[in-house]
Amino acid sequence: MVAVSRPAWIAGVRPGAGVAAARSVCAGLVVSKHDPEADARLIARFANFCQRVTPDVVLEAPDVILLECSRTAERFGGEDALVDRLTRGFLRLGHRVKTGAACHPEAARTLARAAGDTHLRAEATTTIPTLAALPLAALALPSSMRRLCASLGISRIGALLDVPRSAWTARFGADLGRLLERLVGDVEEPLRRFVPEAAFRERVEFSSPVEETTPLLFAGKRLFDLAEAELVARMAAVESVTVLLETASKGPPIRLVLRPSAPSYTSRRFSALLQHRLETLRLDVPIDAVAATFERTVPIRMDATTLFEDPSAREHRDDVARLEERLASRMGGHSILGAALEEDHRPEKAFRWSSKTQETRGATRRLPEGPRPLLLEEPPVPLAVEEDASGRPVRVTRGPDRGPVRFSRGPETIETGWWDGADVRRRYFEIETAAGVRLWIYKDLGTGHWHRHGAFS
Amino acid sequence: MPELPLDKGHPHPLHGAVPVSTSERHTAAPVVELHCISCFSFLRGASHPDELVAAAHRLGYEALALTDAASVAGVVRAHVAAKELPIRLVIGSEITTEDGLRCVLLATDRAAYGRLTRLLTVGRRRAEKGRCRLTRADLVAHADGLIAILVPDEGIPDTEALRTLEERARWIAETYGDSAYLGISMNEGPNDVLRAERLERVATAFGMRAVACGGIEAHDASRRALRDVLHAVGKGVRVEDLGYELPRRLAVLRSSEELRRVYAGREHLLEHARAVAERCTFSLSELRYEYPVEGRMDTLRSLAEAGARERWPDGIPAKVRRLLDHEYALIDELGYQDYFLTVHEIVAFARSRGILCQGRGSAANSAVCFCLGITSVDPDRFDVLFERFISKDRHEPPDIDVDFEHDRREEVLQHVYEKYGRERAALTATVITYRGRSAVRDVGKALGLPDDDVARLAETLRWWDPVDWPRERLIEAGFDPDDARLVKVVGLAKELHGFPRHRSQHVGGMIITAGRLDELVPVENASMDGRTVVEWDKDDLDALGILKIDCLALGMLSAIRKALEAVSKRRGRPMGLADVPADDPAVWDMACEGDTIGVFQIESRAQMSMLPRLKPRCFYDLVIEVAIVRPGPIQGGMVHPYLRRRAGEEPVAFPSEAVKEVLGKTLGVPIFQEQAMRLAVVAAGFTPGEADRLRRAMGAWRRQGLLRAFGDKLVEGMLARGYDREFADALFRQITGFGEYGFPESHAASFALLTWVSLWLKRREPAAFLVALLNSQPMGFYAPAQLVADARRHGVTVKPVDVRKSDSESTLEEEPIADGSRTGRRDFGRGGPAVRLGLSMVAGLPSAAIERILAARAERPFLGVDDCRRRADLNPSEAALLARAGAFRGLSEHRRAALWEATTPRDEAELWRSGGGAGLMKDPLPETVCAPDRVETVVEDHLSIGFSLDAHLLVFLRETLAERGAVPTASLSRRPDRSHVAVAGLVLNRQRPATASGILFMTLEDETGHANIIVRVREQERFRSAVLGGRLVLVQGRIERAHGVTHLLASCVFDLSDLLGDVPHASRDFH
Repeated sequence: MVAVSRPAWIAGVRPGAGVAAARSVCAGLVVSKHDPEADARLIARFANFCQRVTPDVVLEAPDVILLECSRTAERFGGEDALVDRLTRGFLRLGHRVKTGAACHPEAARTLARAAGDTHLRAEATTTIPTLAALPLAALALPSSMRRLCASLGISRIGALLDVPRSAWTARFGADLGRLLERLVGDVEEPLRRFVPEAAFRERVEFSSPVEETTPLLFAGKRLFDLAEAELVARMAAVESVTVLLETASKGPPIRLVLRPSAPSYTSRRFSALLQHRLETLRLDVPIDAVAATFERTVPIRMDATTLFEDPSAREHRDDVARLEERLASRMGGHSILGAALEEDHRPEKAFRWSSKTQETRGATRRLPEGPRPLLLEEPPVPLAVEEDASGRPVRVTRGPDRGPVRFSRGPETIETGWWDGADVRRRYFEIETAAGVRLWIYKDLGTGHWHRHGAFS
Repeated sequence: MPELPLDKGHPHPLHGAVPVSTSERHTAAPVVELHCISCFSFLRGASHPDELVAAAHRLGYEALALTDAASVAGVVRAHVAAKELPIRLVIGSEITTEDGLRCVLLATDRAAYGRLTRLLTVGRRRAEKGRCRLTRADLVAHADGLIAILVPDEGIPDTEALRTLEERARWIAETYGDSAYLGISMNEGPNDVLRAERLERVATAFGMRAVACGGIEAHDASRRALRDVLHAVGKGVRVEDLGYELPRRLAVLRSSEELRRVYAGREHLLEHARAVAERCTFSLSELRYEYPVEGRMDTLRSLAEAGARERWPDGIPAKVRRLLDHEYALIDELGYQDYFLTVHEIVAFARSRGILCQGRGSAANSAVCFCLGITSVDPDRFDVLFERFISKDRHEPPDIDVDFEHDRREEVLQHVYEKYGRERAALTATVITYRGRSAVRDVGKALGLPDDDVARLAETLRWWDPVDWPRERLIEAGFDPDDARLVKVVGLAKELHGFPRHRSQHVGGMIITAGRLDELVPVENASMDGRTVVEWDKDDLDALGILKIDCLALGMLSAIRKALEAVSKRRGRPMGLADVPADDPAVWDMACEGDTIGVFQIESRAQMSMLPRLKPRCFYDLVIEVAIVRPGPIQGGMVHPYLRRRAGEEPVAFPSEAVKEVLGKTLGVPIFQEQAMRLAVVAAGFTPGEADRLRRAMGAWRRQGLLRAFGDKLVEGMLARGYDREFADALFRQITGFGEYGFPESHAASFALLTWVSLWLKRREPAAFLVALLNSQPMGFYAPAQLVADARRHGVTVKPVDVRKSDSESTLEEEPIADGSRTGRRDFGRGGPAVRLGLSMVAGLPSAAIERILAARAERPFLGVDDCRRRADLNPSEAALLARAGAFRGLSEHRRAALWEATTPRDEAELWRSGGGAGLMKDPLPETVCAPDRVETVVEDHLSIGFSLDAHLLVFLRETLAERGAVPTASLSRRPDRSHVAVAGLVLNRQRPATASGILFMTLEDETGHANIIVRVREQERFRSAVLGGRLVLVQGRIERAHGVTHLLASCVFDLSDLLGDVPHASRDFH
């Protein structure tokens, strides 16, 4: 258990407990997998949020954010007001924070760790006495040292500081010495400012609102050109682009999401997509700006050649993909399907359709053992069949295929598929009807009924 | 402690075969199957060997070959099942060489079978545990007499595959000559006919006959799902991801008609298969008598007579003389003298090394064993029943189990290996089967159930549950009981329960043969280096009549030896087991009070409640005490009647003289397993053979049907002999209650001997006893904390760990601390030697460090912490451990000062490395570090050695606990029955016996003593987290007192573990 909700805590679950043990004490426990990456993204968002009050934000994963606010505090009405604003802002985001303030970073960290619901601060002149009164738990000490201090009866920072520093470094190494130096402010600490990850936005404003598509396409091309340069430099491509057409009337912007069939970086591709979208769009209101946000970049390998390739050559490559895009943008993404083989003995499950056509192309699967008709009837059509003593079909007694049949191949018995509710127990035969049609029929071994499943033609 | 046999799922056919109905037999022309695997091809086969045999018989097979992959592990079970039926079992194995050639090898006769087992041994000994590597050269070297059927790959061979096939066919034909065949399987596949054509052409080309071969993986199609799940588990993927690796159709045994239909046009393949089966005449029954039987009887006789003269220096009693002669005759007739001599040699070896050992089980019924020194139950004083041990009509070999000191058993096993060599000695196997939780986990994963759900479902099964999920339980755990996938998971987990997962070595069972072991059964590598294990388990060996010896480990034997050694040293003269007085009133007094913590077999909560009621005062009482507190007698309702009669509350009457003879010494109540059997013979007219089958039926306790059949016969037999129905029904109830839990009298007697010795030691030499127990951990019911506390309650002085005085282990010291307090009746430890806790009690202290300390101290005493550190070369963390445990007392002001000194870096080089600046060799103790207070000391003690000699943890919490209404546990005995009260304490252990209908027993400990808590099912659910996980709990409830024993029936249980903070505390939980 990494983190536990309050009701779970009350029921007896503690961080550090095993999942099974936790479940045994709390019957209705809901457990989800800890996602450290999501945590990291979240705290980056917090750091971003903090940049509203000061540009000097330092992110110290997993749970500490440092802000240098001496210059900006005045703008918010003083340190207390600033802290108050931050705390309430975080609460709105759904998180509680502990805050501490001091003249140097380590002291501030320590105060924050020791803080409860109230903000803790230390004046420049009384930093050390303030720190001294705090419990040892507020320091980021190695656990071996924590243990030793507990055994020695040292529980406050003050007692720790009373002991000559050399005694600590002798026991726990130079890192600890540096920590203590930082704590009392004897040494400066270099800090790295937080830089948010670029999910860039570009925006183009018109001098006067426009109502036709041509200027929109020009603006779009400009944006896409800029983006292409940036992406190429970064060796990245994007999976989707959101284009916002901001309306002059200040109503909600028109939002278009462009999704290429594969991650792309070329301005040409995006322009084409935009064009298709605009062809079907009716513009009622004048537009005064176009903004594009590029999200979800993925790294791509580019051969050196593509950078210098003739643009027209690039165009002709992967015509199918472009055709797909055009069809998709006209008919809707989900009307284009690709077929892929699946490894399953059940004939109707031996292939599947997928709108992720990239996947289906080139996916290798083995073929089924026996011959399969090109045409498969789903669902299989009931057939009235008469069989001989050994179970082979001899005639069809009703329907359009009525008449004696000539047996060609069989039986092929398939008994599998129990795990997903589509269990199959069938005995297949290939037959030729009186009319000369080659059919694939089977007897259901459970019900005893015959069916027609397909035709070989 | 009492062992509960776990639900085995699918018992060995020896204990009751799968019932076979003969009504469905087909009458068409008989067929055979030559290629069939069982679940002993781990994670491939989906049926048990006896299921395959039964199904083959039902379908009209003439013969069935069991050919597990590189193994014959399942053949004995198949053999037992086939013995009763008119179907022949052919023995073989499916072999795959390193270059991919797959064939089935069948044994034609005994010699060929021996070659097969040697071949398998070669392949398994050269590979790591569980695997087999064979080359073609190996097959050639062991080809004589074996029939080989080449198994081609699946599908129609294309050009490439055809070439490989032809090459293999040529090689098989060359190697096996006219015993070479090619197997063709047809299972209604789309290309079967074409494939068969091609294969037959290949066979003819190389002069081999083609035979029909099924490649059977299960007895019928109902195992489809299980087979797929097994394969998924084996590959570690989900079933749905297996794709075409799943079969189009499972290969199962088919009826003769169906086979003829499938092989239509190729019936000759079926005929050829029959011909092959006819060539295989070997049966496992031929394996029985493999021991030389000449000449050694004289040796046995003279050894036994010599032993008898030692046991009875004043002359062998007449009764014993009769017994000996009777046993000699039987042993000679059955040819077991070699076995007895082998066991005698092992025991003699152990004795020569001073290793305590004692035979247990039915062997204690033998006067010869007693004279040979194998067992310790005196046949003169007890009624022994040799037939319980060896019987002519049973056709079963004797089974001798010997307990050795647990920490020296390895020496004994090593000796066996050295003396007999790897060719003749190996360990017996144990098959690890799927139990409830493991079955759920593997099936859940294979069906793609999310990890959380799998864990949750597995959690719903407690270790005491049979594999079953009633609807309510599923709903409660948050599942939808009608969810299709869940239904499948639950159903398949139940089916999987009892299936073998892998093989492991049995803890101490050894098989020793006169001839080559690997011509009897394949031998493979065990996980432990240098150990080898055979493929068969105890039941298999029993079924075939192969002798084995169980070398078991018993912690109490180690403890007893250590205690006797300590006592010998103190007294200045040797004291052995035989020197322990046979009677001592003070010892019986102690036992009658239930004051038995640390005593063998009678220290559990249940035993301590029974002792004041049974009040043992002689050895036989102890034998009964040991046997009666077990699920068998409890479930059979024997306990109360016995106690009532003993107390004189009920008259002791016998419906006949015959019954009186059997039940007289247990006051008319059957308590021992063989009493039930004897009664069946004298009162219901069973033959000894039938009585023995009854005993087995009791063992297969799930086979309700079998027991019912016997029950009817029993009751009818007794009615016919004039006993009234009430007596007959009561007896049958009692017998069913036994199950396989009842102790044989001889076994109880063997144990009672050790119980008496440990009782005597506890009462008369409590300090030596404590030292011995501490030095033999882990063992027994209680942790060192409770053993120490108990000894101190009896006046034993226990001194703390001290680097100046402690040895590695705990030792005796002669100066007890006189503290002037009054000596009470129970203070029998006062005035005796004191116990000094050993350095090994400090958790985490490496034994190498301890050695160095002792070596340095031997030169001269330590002058200070620093001196000790330097001379014993202790690094800061080792020294810190000692300081925290207070082991530096006397060498420094207080514990913390010692800790400070302990962690000072040692030398210049270290100082430079840690960057602390030059020149600091000694850093003064900071002012802030002062002596710890009492609480802190006690907490540190708990963290170092698990308990504190200073004070009990709860002393410091008493005020808080009292505020919450808890009273000291010691006061419980003074409170009136049925009054309401609350107590709080550390949870020592939890027990949930299967016989107690879900009730959980807990023992709590506070600074004044222990409390026994009873928690019913409802309260377990309401306060689940506290009951199951709490370290410190508060219990509110009602006092229940009966026969002088006080329990607290819980109505509320609260978890106060947070009060303990970081102090660790673990409880010992039992079934």
